[in-house]
Amino acid sequence: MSDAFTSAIGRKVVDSATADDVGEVKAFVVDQAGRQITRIQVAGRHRHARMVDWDDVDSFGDDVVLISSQGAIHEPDDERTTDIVKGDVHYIGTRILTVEGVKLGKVKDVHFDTKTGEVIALMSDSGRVEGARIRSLGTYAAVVEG
Amino acid sequence: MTTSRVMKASDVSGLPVVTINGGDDVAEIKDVVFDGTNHRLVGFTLNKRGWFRGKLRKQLPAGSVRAIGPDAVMVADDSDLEDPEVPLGKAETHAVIGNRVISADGSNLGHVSGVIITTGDDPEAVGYEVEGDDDKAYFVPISAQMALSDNNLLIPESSTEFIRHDLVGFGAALADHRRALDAASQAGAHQPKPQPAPEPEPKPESGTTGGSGS
Repeated sequence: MSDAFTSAIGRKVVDSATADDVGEVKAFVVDQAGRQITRIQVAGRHRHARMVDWDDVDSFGDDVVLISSQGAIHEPDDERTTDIVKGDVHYIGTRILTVEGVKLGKVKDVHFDTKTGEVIALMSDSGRVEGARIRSLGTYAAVVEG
Repeated sequence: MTTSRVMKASDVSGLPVVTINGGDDVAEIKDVVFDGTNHRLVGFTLNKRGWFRGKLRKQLPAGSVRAIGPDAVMVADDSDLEDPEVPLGKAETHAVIGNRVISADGSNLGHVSGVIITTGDDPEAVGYEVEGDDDKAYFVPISAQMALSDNNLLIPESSTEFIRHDLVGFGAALADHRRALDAASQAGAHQPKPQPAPEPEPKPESGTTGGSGS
């Protein structure tokens, strides 16, 4: 199954053990290679950013995201997560640059595998970029094979 | 070196330097460092990116560049920026820009106004842009037979036929020039003309240099 960032953001996050509402999906942390979702940021009425590791996502459903337990929620504890929580790194809206130094437009959406958290493709204003072509996602650009 | 995509070195200034493995803009190209004596592209001096602009101590050797595109200069990662013991370009070199360009038949062509470089992996200088006395632009291939003094640049006869007025045509002519030089050096330099010119380079691809800005 695949899903897209733009439609998944705002989705309800529920504790699968207690059935409590935990919050909603606010952002995705993607590794530096731009290929794998590693964490989800959960929005809610809390002072600190709250993160859930992808490994603690039991099911990324169409209507609800089930996580193993509220105990799995933690604060950002590495640089990558902080960059993303602060908005320094984000897929949506970032420019796509080929390894040849040519701009291909901007990322409009990201399709991902709801089972594995793998990025399947970037949707840009100039077309679709397969996940296998992605080399990195950083503060300046998503770099892809030409 | 197979591609003949070329651009004016001066058009590289201002481009961000972006890491392929990180997606970060780690610097911005300030100036091209060119060793005129050896007609060699040495590398680039850098500025910082972002709010705290200003000169960056680190520099980018040409050999670390993976590609130069219209929108960015690509490197593998930020370790490719070097803190040189001897800053690039501080070596003694002849100035080339501004030199008078003299053709093999002894006529003045104009003066050197720029350097033309390739845009692929490990870019190199391949030509000079000449502002002609007739107000036309000339693109002259670099060759080891060029003679350079403090004031003049002499174009060898072997290069004359590969001079072009446009950058795209020049990119195509370069491949022929190289082939001719290779053939000449194999034949002992005195052979008249290298006949076996295999399929000409298919598409010179535009050097997309003009006014793209950022």
